[in-house]
Amino acid sequence: MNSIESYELKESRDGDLVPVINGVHLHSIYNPTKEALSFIENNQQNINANTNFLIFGLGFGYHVDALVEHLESLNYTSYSIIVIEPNTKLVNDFNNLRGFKNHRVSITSPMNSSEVFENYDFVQFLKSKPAPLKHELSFDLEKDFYKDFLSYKAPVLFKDYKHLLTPTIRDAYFTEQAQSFESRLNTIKTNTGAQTKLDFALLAIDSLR
Amino acid sequence: MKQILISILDKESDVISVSHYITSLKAKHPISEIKVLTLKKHTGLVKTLNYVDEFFSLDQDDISSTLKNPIYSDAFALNSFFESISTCMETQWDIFCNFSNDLTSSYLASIFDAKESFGTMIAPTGNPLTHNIWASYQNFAMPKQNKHILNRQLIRHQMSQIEHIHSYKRLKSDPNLDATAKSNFDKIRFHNSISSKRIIAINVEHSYSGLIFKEDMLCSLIEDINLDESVCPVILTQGTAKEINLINAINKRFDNSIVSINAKSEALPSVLRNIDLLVSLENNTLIMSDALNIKTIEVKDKSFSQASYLLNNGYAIYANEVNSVKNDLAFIINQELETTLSVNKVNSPNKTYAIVYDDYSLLETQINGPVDIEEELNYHLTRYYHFQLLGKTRSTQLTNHLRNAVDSKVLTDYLFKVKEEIDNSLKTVLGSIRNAPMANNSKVHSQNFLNNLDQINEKALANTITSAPFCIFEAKLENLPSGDKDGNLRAIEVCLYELKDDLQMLITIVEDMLRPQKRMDQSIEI
Repeated sequence: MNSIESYELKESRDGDLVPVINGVHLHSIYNPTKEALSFIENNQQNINANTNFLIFGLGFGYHVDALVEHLESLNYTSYSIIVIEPNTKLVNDFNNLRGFKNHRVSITSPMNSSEVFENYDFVQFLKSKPAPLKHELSFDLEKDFYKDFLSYKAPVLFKDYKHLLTPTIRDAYFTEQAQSFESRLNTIKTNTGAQTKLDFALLAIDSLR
Repeated sequence: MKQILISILDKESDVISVSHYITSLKAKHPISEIKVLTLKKHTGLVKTLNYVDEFFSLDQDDISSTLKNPIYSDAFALNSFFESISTCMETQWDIFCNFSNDLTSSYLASIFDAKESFGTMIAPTGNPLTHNIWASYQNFAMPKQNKHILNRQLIRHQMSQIEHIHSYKRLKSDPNLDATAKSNFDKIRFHNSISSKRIIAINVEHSYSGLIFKEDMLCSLIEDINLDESVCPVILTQGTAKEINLINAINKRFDNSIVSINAKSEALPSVLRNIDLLVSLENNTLIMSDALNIKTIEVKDKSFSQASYLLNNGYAIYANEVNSVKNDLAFIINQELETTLSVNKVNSPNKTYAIVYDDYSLLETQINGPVDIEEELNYHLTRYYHFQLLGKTRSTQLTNHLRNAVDSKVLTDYLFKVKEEIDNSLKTVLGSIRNAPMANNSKVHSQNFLNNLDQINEKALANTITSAPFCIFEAKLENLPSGDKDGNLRAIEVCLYELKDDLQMLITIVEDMLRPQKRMDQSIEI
């Protein structure tokens, strides 16, 4: 997360709360609800072609509300929205003061990219190929975090993701593995042959690709 | 209680075809629990199979997408895989069958603990191991055939030493759906009629390869069926937008009088049980219909290599184009239901085969369309030879039939061509046999012998009447234990002699077929 030198919540002319971080107003100080409509207009094509959305930046949620309203007006019944926002203070304030009432919308506030990519449910959501939408001001404020998120690559060595394996699998097969899935496969195929049940299993998994 | 696991991790057609195998297995092992390992996307079909006590599923799409994308941890793929097969790994199986003969199942065969394992498994060295000659034929000979000579389902029965049982109920259905379907079909049978009409169902679902029946062909067929009061057409659909549009277009031309039935896989057996004849491209509905012993006509594009899916006295039309079969369909329907549908007298360009059984097993026999005599002779002789190669006893039924049905000169010319082909193959084998004992003597001899084995490999790939014994030879080499070079060389030599004997078997068949003709020719000369 980028360093936050200043943080405050201001009231807009219409009475809506607007976060101001490091001097940047995350929404219009006049009418954030109206401004949020331009978020829909700017992403119209992307929005209309999808049902799942990954939004980079919470702001104070007005653009997300506008998206929900838009999808409901199109009679979408099975959409899903996840908002990624690394600023936990902002997320806490939002949840306490506004919050999303729609159960199809959730916020994730990870400390770093690996935290979110190690979450199985989030990975399943990503596999549904959600449309990415940027809340520009929030995105710019946390550019490093989002850049890291967008260029994330999962660790490949068994030992580095051992903690993600279910206990039975971990205890049965992955006690001392300093290899990766690919390098172990390569060794089996070109050198040792399949020597253990795990080797055969890795070959079976490989054949499912 | 025997614990049986059947792995079907390949084509969806196998998931329904396995119904024949499962019922036959149940007949042999009535006190057993039969479990199926399949792909998650095929679980809907598995639910229709009778005698399946439990099934496990691998989510191939999930595992594959996890492994392919570097942002996802391989851990999720490993978890998904191991969780799916954990029960399979913990169970002591009495029988494991690699039914679909796919690579994943072949690896799993090496992981699962089974007293008996049928089909192909992979050795630690990576070689495919087959447990008997039928499994070898399935794994090594069938993939090299342009069109399968022997029916794959029956090979799988033989491979597992079980008889194909026809009397068991293969597919499950919901009794409530059965009752509803029967009541609805009774209404159709007696609509505008005092006597009961027979139902001809036309399935508009696309084929596995994406082919579809077109509106004009379907309308022309329906129009003809409507002219015969003893039968009535209904359309079967899976309810896709394309199919609905097609049905709407057809109904527009028949004043909305054509009944269409939208039945998904679990409801389909209830519907199919009420029809008298099904016309369909190659798809799940076709295989289900056949599994339910419904008379079925399979329409297929002749350019695709897959032989007929049918195992129950149906018909297969190998069409130049699947929408050119209206006449062929009318011909079969007339023959099967004694109707009077109009058949254009002009000869059909498509070949129609009846699926029948002889002394050995199922075969496709041509009943209509242009006859390519050499192709037909080749099919029948190859089939006859393959059965003997696989250990079946000799039968005179086919050879007598060929002698009676085929012009003697045509048959003789063909058999001499075959002999030439066998001679050519034998030369390759004899060359190898000559070089085998010297293979260890020097680098040159060793290289000569390897060249011989390469030639044998080419013969296996050649897809001729003599290819199968070369494929069986290849299987035997794959099954040799690794490590002992001298021992293996001696074993290869033994296999080469067996290959020579296998080719000799074909020579005997050909000479037997030529012998009475020679006698007849001589008697004419006298």
